[in-house]
Amino acid sequence: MATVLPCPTEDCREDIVSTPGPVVIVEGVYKKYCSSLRHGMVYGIIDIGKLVFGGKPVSASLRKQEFWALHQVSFRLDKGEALGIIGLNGAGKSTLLKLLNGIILPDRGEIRMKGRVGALIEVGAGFHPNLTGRENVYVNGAILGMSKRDIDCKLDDIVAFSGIGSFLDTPVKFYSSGMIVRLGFSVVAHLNCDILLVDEVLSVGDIQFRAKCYNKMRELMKKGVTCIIVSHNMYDIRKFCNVVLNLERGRVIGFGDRDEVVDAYLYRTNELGAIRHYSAPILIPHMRKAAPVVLEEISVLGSSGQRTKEFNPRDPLVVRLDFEVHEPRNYVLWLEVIGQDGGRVFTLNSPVGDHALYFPRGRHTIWATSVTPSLVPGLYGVNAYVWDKRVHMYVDYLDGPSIQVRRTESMDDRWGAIRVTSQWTSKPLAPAGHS
Amino acid sequence: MGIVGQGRDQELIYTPWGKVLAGGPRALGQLSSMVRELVEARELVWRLFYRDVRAQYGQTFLGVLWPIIVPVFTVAVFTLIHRAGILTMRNIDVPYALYSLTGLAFWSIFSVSLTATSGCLVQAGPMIVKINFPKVALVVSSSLQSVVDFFIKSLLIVMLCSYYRMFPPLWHVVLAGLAVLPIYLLSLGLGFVLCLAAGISRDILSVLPLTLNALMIFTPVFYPGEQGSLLYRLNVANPLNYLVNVPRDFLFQGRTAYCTEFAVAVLFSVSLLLFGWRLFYLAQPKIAERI
Repeated sequence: MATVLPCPTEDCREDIVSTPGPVVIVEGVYKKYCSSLRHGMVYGIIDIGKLVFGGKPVSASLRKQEFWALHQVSFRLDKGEALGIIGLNGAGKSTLLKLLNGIILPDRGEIRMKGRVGALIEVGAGFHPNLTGRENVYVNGAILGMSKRDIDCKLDDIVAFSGIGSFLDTPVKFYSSGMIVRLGFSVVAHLNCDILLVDEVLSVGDIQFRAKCYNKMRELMKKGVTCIIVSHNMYDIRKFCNVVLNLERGRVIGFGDRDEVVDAYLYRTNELGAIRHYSAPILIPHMRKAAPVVLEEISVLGSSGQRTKEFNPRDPLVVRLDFEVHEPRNYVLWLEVIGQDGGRVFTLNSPVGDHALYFPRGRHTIWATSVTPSLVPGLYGVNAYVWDKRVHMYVDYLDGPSIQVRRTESMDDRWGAIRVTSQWTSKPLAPAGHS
Repeated sequence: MGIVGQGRDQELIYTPWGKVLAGGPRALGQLSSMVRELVEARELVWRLFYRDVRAQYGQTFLGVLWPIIVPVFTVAVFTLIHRAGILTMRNIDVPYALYSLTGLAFWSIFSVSLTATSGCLVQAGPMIVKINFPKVALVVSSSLQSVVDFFIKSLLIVMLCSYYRMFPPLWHVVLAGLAVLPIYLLSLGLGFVLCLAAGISRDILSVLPLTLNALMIFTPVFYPGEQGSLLYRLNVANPLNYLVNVPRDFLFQGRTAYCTEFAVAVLFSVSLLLFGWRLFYLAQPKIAERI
């Protein structure tokens, strides 16, 4: 009779006390890529030849058509830390993750990983449409390095997590694309690992599933799994990471405290014009052509009445709007303040309904002053819309300048989107046992 | 995940020269870590193999019949050519259909295995660039398709034997079965090299079918080498000649006139396997960059 082996539970893993010190050490790592297919083929043959027949394995300098995808990257992570890697497309984030995963080797430098590495990079690897969900879980698990026993133990959890339910024994080709992704993610999420690499996969699935993924990640982190996350979503980065590495064209331009590095990155991307146009609505073209009102300029003014880009947290926001009216009638002007992710923080509008302001033909200037609440430190954009009461439509839209609310030393206005003043009262409770 | 045999607290070091397990064997360890990698990947080999077989025979009406229809058709064509007198030959002691079918069965181990392995890295490209897993499993599992194919053809041989009421003694069969292994090893070794080559340049995938066809005609698979002929002389140095014909000799006669040549061919196959495997092992991380 076969003995039933107990499942390797998560609990027994925690008994093992790991040695202190960094679990990830990246030291002076360089990686080069080739920008030409043809040269790449030749270099590939040369490099493999050198590896097999000895000799200097990899030339540490650049050859024709090659460039450094990563340039002298160094950092260390302690056990249980969560690192976020950010940067624009092509900054080398994925390359760094591949190096950490051991898929490719550095051309210079050294990477040391202590513990088992799991990678939440590709979901549903090796899935075959003709195989059932169950069969694919085993194939996928095997590719990710799980043993059959391991998968047997976790199958119920995996299926429950994915929410596939009764479709488990249906060929995967009859799944919706979301179901495939969910099943794939579930397998990866149940890997046993000490270091977890995550590449932008948290954006899969519907909102409900995403919440599950977030919770799963938290659970792993609580267990002391060291995480390395690549994401373009600064909310995710702020939510999960305590340290952040900012890459730009293969070089580390920031490493350290989460908020500092993320803010620096956002200011930098804003300089590159990334946040603008993020929330621009689509106006119907013919309406725009015959625009009865044309917005000309939005200016953000400081307390002195001068244009400014930087504010202190408690400064009132004064916005000046210049526009030209071609068809005189009642209009409503809207100002929206958008955050770093393009979401609206709040809107201001001129009177609506029967009180909508009447504008005669010609140029106009209007000022809006926000009284309260005020913004927390960060980067914001100010945009304007005009609502035409007669046609019940927005008839023009204009991107405004971006503004920065300065960071202050105090802790009280650090988080959230807006600052509100509040009153706190307290009253001592009666000691237990007395009524 | 990670490297074979890695413990929880063992440190894995990636350098430009390859991956090293801190405190692990360095110089001596290469062959042993190659073997360990393969042993640890056995489950993955099986899963991938199962997936590919299911995929191959899954969505066809005739399903499992295809690998039977194709050889029957091929053998029928060659038998027809033989009957028509286009392909004349002496000294075959067995019916020609049986002769050509066994030749085809042994040859197919080589051709099926090579066809499957050569493209395996390219096909798994998206996976290779994103997941760290022992790629050797891809090659081995693909090559195992030739085993399925051989098994099916063996059944056909059994059927044909019973049709002709020709039953070779068991020890002939066992001998032939052992002698057929080297051609599989050769195909695996070549497969390691070719899939890497295809990873760098896709030309290989277009050239291979042509080459295999030419080799099949060139190598005495469907006809015995006539002593003294040009083909015979050219085939003296062709290891495939011995790897196909010696098992056939064993099956039908229980002995072969080419013991030395066969031994050399076996040695060649094993060396090529070791070379290809090592090349593959070393080139793995390089190929993930190029694929």
